[in-house]
Amino acid sequence: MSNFLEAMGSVISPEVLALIFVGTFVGIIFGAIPGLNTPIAVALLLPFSYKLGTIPAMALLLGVYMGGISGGLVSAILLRIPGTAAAIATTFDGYPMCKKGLGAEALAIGTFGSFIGGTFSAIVLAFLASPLTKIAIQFGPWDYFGLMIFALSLVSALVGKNVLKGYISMFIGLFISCIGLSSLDGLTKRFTLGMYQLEGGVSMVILIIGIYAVPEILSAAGKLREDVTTAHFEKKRFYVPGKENRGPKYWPLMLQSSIIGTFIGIMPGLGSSTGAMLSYTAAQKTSKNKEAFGTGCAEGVYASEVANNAVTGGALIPMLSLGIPGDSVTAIIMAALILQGISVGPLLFTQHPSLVYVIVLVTFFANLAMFIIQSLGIPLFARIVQVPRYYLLPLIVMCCSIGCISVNNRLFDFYVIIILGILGYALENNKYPLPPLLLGYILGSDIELYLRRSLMYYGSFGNCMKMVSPGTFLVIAAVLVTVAALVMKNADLMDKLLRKKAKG
Amino acid sequence: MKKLISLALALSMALTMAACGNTGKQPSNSGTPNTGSQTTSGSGSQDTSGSGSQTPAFVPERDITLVNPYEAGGTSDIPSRIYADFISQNMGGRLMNVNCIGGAGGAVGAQEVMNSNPDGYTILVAPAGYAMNYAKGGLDWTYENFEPVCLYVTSVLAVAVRSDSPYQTYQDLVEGVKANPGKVNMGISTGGLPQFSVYAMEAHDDMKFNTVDIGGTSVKATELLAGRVDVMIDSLGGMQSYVESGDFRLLAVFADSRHPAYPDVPTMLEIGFTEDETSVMSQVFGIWAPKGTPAEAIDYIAGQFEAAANDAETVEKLNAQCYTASFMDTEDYLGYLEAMYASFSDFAKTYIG
Repeated sequence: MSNFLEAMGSVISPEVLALIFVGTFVGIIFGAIPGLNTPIAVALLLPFSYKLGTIPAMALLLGVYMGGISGGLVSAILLRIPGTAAAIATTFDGYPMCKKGLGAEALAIGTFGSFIGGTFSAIVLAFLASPLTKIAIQFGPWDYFGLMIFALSLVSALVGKNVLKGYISMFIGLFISCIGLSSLDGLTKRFTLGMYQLEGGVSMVILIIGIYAVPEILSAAGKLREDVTTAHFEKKRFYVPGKENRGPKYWPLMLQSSIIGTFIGIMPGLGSSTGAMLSYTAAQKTSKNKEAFGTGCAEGVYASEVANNAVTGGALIPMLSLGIPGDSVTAIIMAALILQGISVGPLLFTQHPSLVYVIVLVTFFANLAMFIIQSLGIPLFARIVQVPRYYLLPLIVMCCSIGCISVNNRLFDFYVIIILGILGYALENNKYPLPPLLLGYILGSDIELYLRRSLMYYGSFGNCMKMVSPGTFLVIAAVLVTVAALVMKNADLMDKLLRKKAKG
Repeated sequence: MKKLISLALALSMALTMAACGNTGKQPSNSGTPNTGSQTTSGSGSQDTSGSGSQTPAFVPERDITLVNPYEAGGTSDIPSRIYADFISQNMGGRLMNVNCIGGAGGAVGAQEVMNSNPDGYTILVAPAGYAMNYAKGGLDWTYENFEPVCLYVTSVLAVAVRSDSPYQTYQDLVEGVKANPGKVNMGISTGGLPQFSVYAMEAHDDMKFNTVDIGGTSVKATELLAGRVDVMIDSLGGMQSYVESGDFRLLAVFADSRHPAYPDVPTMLEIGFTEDETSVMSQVFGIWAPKGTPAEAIDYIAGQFEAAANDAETVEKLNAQCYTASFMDTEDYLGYLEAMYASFSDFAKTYIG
């Protein structure tokens, strides 16, 4: 308890609180700009953090982390261009809401959802870190493979009406994830066309800008003279979701999404984009009004935004209790601690107990700061869609370009973006849904990695399937879900095929 | 409208920040470094002693970018940042920024540096893994495609088991593996140095592990913690916190002498390995510059790293993470690289075929 009070005392100081606000603000900006993302923001601020003490450094970096994960929702909702990979699933319902004139409401829902998810995971972090880590490390490569395959099977929630086009889109995503050196051993160059720049694969930022942003800009450029979408919003100082969008009927969904997000966060190696995607597909599967998903329902926004912020606290859990970062951002935060001379590992709780509480408290305050800043900012953000498109589009193009240069500092990525943009435009205009492509891309390389590891560990796929483990059950579940979805969705297609056969 | 302007301001602020962080990396078209007209491109021999007096010394006009070809927070990132932090204080207001360009086992970052302007403003962290991957046929370039600058840090690999493992000593492990050929799970990161160490260990005692991949990030310790692998090889720095907490036990370190922090753990030489066998087991990091970088710039950078390697605080920070500040100047480092590449390819011929 004295540790807690000591931590409370050091966090509630003007300097630390100010740094939390600054960090969160910077994070939101980096999150909101397509192409700039949280890992970039954290890596950029890392050198600054040396000069600060340990606690102020954590305040700054964790603020950026929390703000960055949430900030992606702004452009995802208003422009259908996810600011970060974590916000990909937010576009599915957030943008349709915006189109209906509910942009400000969607932003309020997303912000509120982020706050709930982040706070939930901060509470889990405070009380259950050690026991949950012990459970999490019991999951091996085969279980990861099962989880990933199961997540992929949930694509049936995303494919929309035309199942065939949905699955084609998913396979394009899986294909893109194959580009580069083979995962695990790096011995085979795949689809690199002799260009070394492709050996590292197509990075997620590049894919998002290419597949999402460019086609959106292109199609908007074709409609410059049409009326701009006007976001309807009441003049308020502080935005919270309307009564119909925050009642107790959303509590089960929020709990479910918080748990999924936190769980994905704890699993080392899985990030917030996977968490949000999995939560969204799960929410669609368990929802009473499945049909509303994708057309602009509050549930869809909640599912994505609650989960992606829940990942943040979750990802800190294995870092604090074992020195194992839960995702790429926590890996950099861990490096910041190491550079401060603190060895992060299983002894952190005993050697620096108050630091652990500091991190928990900062996480909590950063979520609060994110909620306040974003809620205050909503009227400002919502104005974006009222800006005439001929002003807005060049600005977006510029932001995206800077974002893409900042990934690897090279022009090559521009060309990749243009090619992906053409692909995205062609797919969009031929009614191929893009969400399955992104799901396939996000999960593709992990699926391969964990399958190959499983084969190294256990010898053969048969051996893996003989094990009584969560992985095996998940693989079986994935097959069942896929078959069931195909049969249900294709009822008339099957009918037609059968009739044709009977005729023939 | 005011609000719009403030938003635009906020955006531009963020963008400037992003740009600031990267200025060192952008190939400059305007600023030409004042290194004179003399170029030393292509000269393999580094007669650095004479050049200093004749040509104006290199003074950085911009920030220098140190490219770490792996992800942020990894084994090569932390010592690089410790060095860069010290060096940044001594560059007359200019900074040394660490830029992580990961991917393809370090190949992407190396290619980026290889193709960047040879002006001394972009340099590469080069791990021993490049020599290994070249020997395996995974890379088609060597240190000869760069201008090696210096060696600046080494780290020690070690063999670890869980503390409840039946293997108390390295000999126990050998006997255990011989009794169950192909059954003992050995965790390594594929494509990393430990892969060769495993080949050497298997060849030395004529035994066979079931070698499995546990990845290259700091996540790998989970595999031994959870007992999915029986033994693992990793850098001592990555495992020390688990040794201290009593989760892991070290069986051997891959170093010439015992590690000061673990005086009870024998070296592979003591266990009976020859120097030839252990020559491919030490993790060294050097600095490489693009081919054609002027000798003055190379001297300048090497000098900065030497000063950092002699700084007590930097050394202390490195030691705390189980790294050793071992500086080697350009000439010695070239000789070292030559020998290292030779021993890796000999080794590959003998053991992998």
